[in-house]
Amino acid sequence: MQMRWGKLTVVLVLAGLLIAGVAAFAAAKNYTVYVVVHGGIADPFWKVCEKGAKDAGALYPDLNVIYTGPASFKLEEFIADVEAALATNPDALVCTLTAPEAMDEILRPVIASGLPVIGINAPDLRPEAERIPVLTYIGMDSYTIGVTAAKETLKRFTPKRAVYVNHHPGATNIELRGEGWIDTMTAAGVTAEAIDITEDPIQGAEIVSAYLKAHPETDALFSGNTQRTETIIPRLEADGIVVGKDIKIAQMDISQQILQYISDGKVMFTMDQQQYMQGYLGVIFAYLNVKYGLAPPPAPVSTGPGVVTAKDIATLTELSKEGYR
Amino acid sequence: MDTKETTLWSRLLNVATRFRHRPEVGVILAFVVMSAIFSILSPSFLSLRNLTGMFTVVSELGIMTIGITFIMIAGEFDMSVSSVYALGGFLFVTLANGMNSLLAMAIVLLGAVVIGFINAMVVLKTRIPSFIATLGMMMFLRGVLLAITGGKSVKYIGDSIVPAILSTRLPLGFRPSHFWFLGLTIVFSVILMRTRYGNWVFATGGDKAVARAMGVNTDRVKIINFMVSSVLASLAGMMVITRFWIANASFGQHMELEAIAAAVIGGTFLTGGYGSIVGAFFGAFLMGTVRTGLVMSGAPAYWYRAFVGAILIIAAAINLKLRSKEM
Repeated sequence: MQMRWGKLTVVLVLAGLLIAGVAAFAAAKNYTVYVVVHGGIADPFWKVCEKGAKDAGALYPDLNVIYTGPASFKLEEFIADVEAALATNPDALVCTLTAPEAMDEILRPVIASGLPVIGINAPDLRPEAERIPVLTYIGMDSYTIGVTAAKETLKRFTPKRAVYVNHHPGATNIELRGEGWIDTMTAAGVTAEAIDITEDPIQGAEIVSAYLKAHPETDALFSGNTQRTETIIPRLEADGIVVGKDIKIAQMDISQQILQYISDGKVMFTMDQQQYMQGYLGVIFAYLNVKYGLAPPPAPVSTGPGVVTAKDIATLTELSKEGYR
Repeated sequence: MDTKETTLWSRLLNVATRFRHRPEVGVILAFVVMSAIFSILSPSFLSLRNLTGMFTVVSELGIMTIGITFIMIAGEFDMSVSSVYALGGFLFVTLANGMNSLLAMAIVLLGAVVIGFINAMVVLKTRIPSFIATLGMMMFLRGVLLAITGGKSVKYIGDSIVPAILSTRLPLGFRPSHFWFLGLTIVFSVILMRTRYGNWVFATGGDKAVARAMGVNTDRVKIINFMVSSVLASLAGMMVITRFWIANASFGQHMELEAIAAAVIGGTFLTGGYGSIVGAFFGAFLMGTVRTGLVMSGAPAYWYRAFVGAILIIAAAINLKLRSKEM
């Protein structure tokens, strides 16, 4: 019995210390900025955005940055996280505007009550008068990404059939990339369509493999996510497809593996949306606004797309390792 | 200690002992402990704004969990609820954009009854385990939904009758969905604990020989429970759609596992014959508490699944221990 009480005391003391530690840490900061994103927080793409946000947070001793979001894309969880963040009465919110219709009800009242809100990565694409009145938006025009990917591909060759592999069906910005790609390809006389490769990279690779068996004339593929391409390429190679020759890949975003693939000629090019800046500038703009009342540059604060080809790889490999690209 | 005190003390002990053997006791204690920890870590955790915000998400999961609990006590699984949730919402938006939303809601609920009936028939007639049969239905419905929508969101532009009934924000942050969840918890608790049908549900999921000896038509009970499970999932689906004003094929993915986890955390056995709707209520709440609490205390969101997984294992172990003590 005595032993049990001893253990209980130790547990209680440890819990107390933990709580006191967290409370003391929280109390030392004057400004809290929440960064809530829709993407999988374990996705390498979002790690770069997170680094940007946290690096910005580390610049100021009175700034506490809390970065969060669902483990994998799930709109309901993302909205719940935004609501939980707002319930803590933060000094500012930086978030992706993933589904503006669903976010109207929660963001408009807090903005009206004076909370600085900054959109990053996924914009509100409705007509200007209907948009959520965020301070600014940092990121890209999603449709242009698809258009640029198609134009860059068409500069290199004219595909027989082109496919866009959609890894977040339902996310407005990801859908729009596909539309930009398909519209531009179709205008050039190329048959193009989008396929849903689900939230699961492994399952997604199987779907692409099956699609190419059904449509072997497909010779151009546009992928909007690095992790997906990293599973698609080995899967297609297992089918005996020579990636880079039988099928050419246009890519969005950077990872070390993607840079290697570009170097190996398996990926034609990738487009960089510099998501480090989305996290970094989002936090800086929010902090400067809440502390000094400084207004950020008007939307959109464009962070891309920049086209990355084999000649850029030497510089980018190091930066990618360090988590900036 | 005189006799009077002894009597009072023994009465209290009796109550405590009886309460200890209720399936929901573990989850209620866990809920209180987690809430206390998170309220210390984040002073706003117990604010009305957060509680009502949490209640909203929990209500949608919780209503689905009530249905799942009902079918699990009867000894079966329903993995299709997450797809019924998404399909119900999508069908509602499509219909209500062109007709009275109440009529659209009635059609959706009727459709859910049909899906539940098909699930039950497949399980009962082919003897395929319900886990597999409903998993197939889950994939089939999700696939159909993705094929129809092409992954695009559909905006709700219908009337405001059903949104007002299900989800529109009320003063102080409350929503009708909160009252639906509370009301359905009470109704299904009463059905389970105080009616003959409730006894049949327990008997169906328990010892089949005993159930037959009692004259229980187990097939009928399962058909009804599959239909209840589908109807509640579609109701939850319509709630989320009228809250977001858009329907999307990705809504509710993996929610069936969350609902099963919430039911198990709430004291329901995977083997059937034992469980509690009140436990399901708190199970859903506990999951919502962990997610919101972690975000609010500034902990990395990576921990959410780890927490829920740990709670699930602990809850299942406690339930098993309680059961073995009772036997």
